[in-house]
Amino acid sequence: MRLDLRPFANPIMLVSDSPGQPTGLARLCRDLATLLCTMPQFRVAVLGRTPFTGINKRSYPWMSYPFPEQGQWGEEYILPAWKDFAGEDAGIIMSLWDLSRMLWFGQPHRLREDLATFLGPGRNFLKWAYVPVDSTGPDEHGLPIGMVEAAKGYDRMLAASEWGANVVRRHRPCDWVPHGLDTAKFNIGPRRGTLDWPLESIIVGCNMANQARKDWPVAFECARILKADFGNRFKMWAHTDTMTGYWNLYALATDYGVGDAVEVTLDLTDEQLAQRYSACDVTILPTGGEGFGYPIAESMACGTACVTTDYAAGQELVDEDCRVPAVAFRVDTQHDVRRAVLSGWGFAGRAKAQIERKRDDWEYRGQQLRQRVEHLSWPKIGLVWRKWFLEGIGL
Amino acid sequence: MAKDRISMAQMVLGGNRIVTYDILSVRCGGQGFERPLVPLEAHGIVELDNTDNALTPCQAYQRLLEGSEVEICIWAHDDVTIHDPDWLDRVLEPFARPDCVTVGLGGALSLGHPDLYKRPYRLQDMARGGYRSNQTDWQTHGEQETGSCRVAVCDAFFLAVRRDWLLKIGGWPVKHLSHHGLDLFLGCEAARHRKETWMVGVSCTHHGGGTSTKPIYRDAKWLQGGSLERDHQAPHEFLYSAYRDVLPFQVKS
Repeated sequence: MRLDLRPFANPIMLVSDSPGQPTGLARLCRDLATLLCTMPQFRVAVLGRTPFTGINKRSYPWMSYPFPEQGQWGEEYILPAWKDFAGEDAGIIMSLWDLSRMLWFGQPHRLREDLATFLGPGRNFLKWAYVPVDSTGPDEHGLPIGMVEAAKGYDRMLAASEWGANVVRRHRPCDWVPHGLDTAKFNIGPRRGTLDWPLESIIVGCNMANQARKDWPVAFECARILKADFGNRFKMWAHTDTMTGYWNLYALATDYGVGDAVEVTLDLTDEQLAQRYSACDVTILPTGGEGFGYPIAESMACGTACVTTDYAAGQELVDEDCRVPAVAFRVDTQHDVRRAVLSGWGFAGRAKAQIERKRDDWEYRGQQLRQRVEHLSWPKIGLVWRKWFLEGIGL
Repeated sequence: MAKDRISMAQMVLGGNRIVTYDILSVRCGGQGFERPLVPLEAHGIVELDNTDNALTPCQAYQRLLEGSEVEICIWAHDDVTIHDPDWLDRVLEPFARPDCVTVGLGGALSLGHPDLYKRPYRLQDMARGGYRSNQTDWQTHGEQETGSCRVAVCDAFFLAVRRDWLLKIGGWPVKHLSHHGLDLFLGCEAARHRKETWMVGVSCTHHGGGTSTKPIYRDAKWLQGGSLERDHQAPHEFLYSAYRDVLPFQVKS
């Protein structure tokens, strides 16, 4: 589909988690909207999903259209928001979500008539997507069928990883650009800083949301194995969004016999997170599949290796010796996604090697790891994003 | 600078335009730049003797640039032999296009891997792509091109550059480059200023493997990083950092 876009002030509306939410996609939405606001070729709005639509304390330099979670993925709000924001101007609507949420957007013919018309072939906006592909479908190579249909309805698609782009390319053209990172905040700090973690302690970090895709049992199994090796020197720092979500972390830590060795944090600023990442000997991210893997990049930017699953996008960020192969795969959820099945032993082995490596030369190893993710800092990767946006409007 | 240098030579371009040029060469151990004599080539080559390697090749190029007053400066390595008698006409012809700033005898359609800035830096991501020339051993380097075409970058063994443009961008980057990467620098600057780079398929031989493999180069005090390996790596790292706004780039064949 081609539209006559202008050299200046083309309306672009991002559809994603609301920028104020504590999620990776919300952060990305905030970063991209901020970047777009610096480009005179665009004027920017965000249609953002949020748990509540009460008082919004934050103000942003873009038009905000928050909608409640009950509004599903925005289908009830996209038409009035776009009409209010863009009027009759031609522009772009760009989703920053997993394709499993966007079938209605890519293939709108099943929607009620006014929406189907608005999103259908005669629309006056381009459909762009940024997709954090975190898994394949059951065939191991391409997307599951529902996502294939959604993908085919877009005019332009970008994945968050090369791995993800290769999965999407089985069905349609797709480029890739990684997320950016605030490397000024996520920087190497003092070995312990103000934390009351003794120098002799072996600290293993794990920053994961409390959801099905994140394998907290494997994290605690890994902790149990390492605790058996290191004894009372072993400590685990776990950061998550809620103690009881998909997993009951209290019960899980206790059942694995590591309750006394785990310190859990829930609400931390980026600076506090960076301080903890820097103090860790290693971090782990046992996941069924990542679309990008913010905690991996954050940990490395702070000079600490992250041991993660050798599947999907996360493995792209780390070296071979930080990748843990899956012991098997299973097809999961109503979207038929292929998830890695993991073992705590695999993570413990890799983590132990990384602990030794960092203790051999704490400073050198830290710098080495930070260098590995320097390209993700916003002043650098922002240029790649900027080019991608400009190419999309023919500049 | 050669003492016998006489002003400039001229040739007719497009029937009614006069373009002035200098052929510049830095002597550093090769047999010298060899080419069929061109009737309009009035003064021979302006040579700078750097056989003692006192200057970096980049500094030598800059010195030749500063001593020149022509429109087109032609830098040729001292281990290049040209076979086509009409080589000079062909080299100067693309400069009839006002946006053309560099012409070479070999060039590549792209510089930098498309994923260059999306993943951690690696030297091989700075490689050229789609190299073409009419070098006698063109098969060794890429494709054969006997005509002319736009390219992303030329090869350094022969570089004809519009002088006023080169001065406008600050001349050769003597602070950042010593030897390798001068050709890539021109391509990057052309891309940044939306100018054109061309190659013409003139039959030629770049004997290569000369000075840069001899002890005089290995022992040069200006080697970046103090070793041959670093002297190759450092220029690419500089270009990678300095030209984020344009790299990677390509032209259509």
